[in-house]
Amino acid sequence: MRATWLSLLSLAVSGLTVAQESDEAALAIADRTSSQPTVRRACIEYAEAAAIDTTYSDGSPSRTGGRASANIRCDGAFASGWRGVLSDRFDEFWARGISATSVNTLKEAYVSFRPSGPFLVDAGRINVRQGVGLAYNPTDYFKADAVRAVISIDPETLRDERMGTLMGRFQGLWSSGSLTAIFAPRVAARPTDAALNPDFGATNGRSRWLLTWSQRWSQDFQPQISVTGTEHGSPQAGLDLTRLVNRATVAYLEWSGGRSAPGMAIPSGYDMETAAFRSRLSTGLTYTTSYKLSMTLEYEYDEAAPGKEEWAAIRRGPIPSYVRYRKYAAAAGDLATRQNVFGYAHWDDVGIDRLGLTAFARFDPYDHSRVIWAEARYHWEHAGIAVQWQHSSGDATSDFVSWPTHQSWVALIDYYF
Amino acid sequence: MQRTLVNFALLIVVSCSAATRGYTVEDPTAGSSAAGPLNAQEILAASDAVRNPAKPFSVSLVLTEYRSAQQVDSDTLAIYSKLEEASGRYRTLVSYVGPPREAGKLVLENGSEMWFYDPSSEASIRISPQQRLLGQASTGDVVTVNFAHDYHAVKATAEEITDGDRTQRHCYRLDVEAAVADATYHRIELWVEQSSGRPVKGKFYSESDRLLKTAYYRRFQAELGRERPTEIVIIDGLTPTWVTVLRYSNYAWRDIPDSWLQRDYLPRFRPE
Repeated sequence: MRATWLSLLSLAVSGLTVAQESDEAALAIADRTSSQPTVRRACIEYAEAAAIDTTYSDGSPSRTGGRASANIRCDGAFASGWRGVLSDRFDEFWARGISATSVNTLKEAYVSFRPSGPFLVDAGRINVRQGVGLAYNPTDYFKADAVRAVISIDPETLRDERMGTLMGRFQGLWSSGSLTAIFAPRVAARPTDAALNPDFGATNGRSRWLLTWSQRWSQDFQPQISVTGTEHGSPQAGLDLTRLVNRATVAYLEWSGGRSAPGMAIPSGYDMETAAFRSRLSTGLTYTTSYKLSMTLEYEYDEAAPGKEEWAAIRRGPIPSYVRYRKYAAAAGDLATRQNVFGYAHWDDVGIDRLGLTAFARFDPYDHSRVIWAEARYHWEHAGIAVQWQHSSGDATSDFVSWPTHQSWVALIDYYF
Repeated sequence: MQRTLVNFALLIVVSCSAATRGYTVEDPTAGSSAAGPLNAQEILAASDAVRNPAKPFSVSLVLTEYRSAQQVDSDTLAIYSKLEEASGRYRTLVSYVGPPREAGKLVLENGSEMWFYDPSSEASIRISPQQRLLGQASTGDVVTVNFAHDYHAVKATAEEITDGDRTQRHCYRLDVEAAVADATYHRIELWVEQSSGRPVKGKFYSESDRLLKTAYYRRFQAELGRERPTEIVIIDGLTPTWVTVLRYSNYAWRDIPDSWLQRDYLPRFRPE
């Protein structure tokens, strides 16, 4: 018995000694640390290069290509109460057998004035992004036609790399909420593919307005309510809500509704008699584990999009009508069919620091098509590397098959200056 | 890991004193003040006050991470913090200054309500306390803890220990237990210097009583009216060669309007 106690005491003493030694080693490392705070920069620039390999479902040989991109974002004060923001991206695409194309995306360019009161006024091209949904955002009223160069189907990338809208914005803020009023005028009628054109025809093809009110009613309840209107369109109302379910789970709900025509009728010019009150919804849960894995499941609903039978009829119908509708739905950022399910996972520091894995899948319950996208990304302080994989499965005209693309691989490298 | 440390930094910054509760000091001769001996909870609150200015302030923070004595990461943050009188908690806005890949991102912490903002997409995303460990906007909990607000100090024992500057200090060892359901740590051992109320060392434990990390508070210097720690050395509980140094500088009083500390202000926030 005495020997046992002595052994335990010995173990405890040796454990204490090891702890003291490791603490001393850590403190010695800290003694040598000479870090100074980084100075804040007005501009952040980065460049990206990608190699792309695409395979097709129609038997065509796979095609290789590439992309080179440059991105800059500047944000700085130029006078008391005034600041300016500029964000721009330039992409050069090429592929074997196809001539190279260039696309410039002027994402933001605006000035902001803050007088002494709790008000702010902005004017210029601004990327106003509303919505708490992860992949589908019914209350993101300025998303239509905003993506000039699709470099990935990742929802986060699509949000990052889109154009803002030319607008005037007023915002009043108080301690528990805010009120925002926006007017975006009609500037040009049609989008353009010209490489260096700011493309106001895409983002400002019609006049629009938006009012957004947000009020914090309690620690965990701050709904955001929106009303928006469009030239020749009916007003739409929107609601964004989030709720902390427990320490690891956030629930969200995003809804928009108002009189609108069926999506299928819009691209060919619609008869207002077909307009009715229609809702759009995105709701989901994000759960995070203690080991840095975050997972989201999202349900998406668009009452203006075709249901099961209508979708089947569209797929059986004339190809030009089908193509026109698909182009419209993609540009509008709406669903192609009435319901979708979206699953997303992101895992940081997988095995080693700075290695992140991201994957998502979208599924159409009507035609059972799906698309899967996955990425492995590692970064150093300035440089980063990534591999992306995208795979579609389903029939030729189904929701998530971008016919004839079947699968693509992308290897990319980026560098932050 | 960096995100975890950001959270830890938040913890350091946002901990504050609030209610006091009647737990007694085991050594009744120690810890006397003009008003009489402090109880354990009051000692905990006093150590909070050493770390955290009572008025709105900002501070720069550099996190340097080491693995097996090799530096693997370094981030610079600007932290803006303000005590909310009603709740006794700090509301904190963390702005990423560097490296360039992270610059401009923001995390708003307002109790259990947390938002992450990315300037490239202008998107504000609600995140959970657990998700803070990820950083998107991600972030932890090790640290959302408001020591005297979220924990009970159940016992104070006089002990002499070696501090982070290798000096012997007469301390109270506070045995601290979670007082709220969503507290990050199940329990904490915190050593507080008897004469000054300075935090000297902390050991943080999970619900399964596993040591998550050890922290040394050091390099005390006069900042915003009193001596405060300007460096915290964190040693991982499972992997002691995983070390992170949190260095604070550029303390300044700040006028932080309440309207800044909400989701709708995040796209507007421009540090001065």
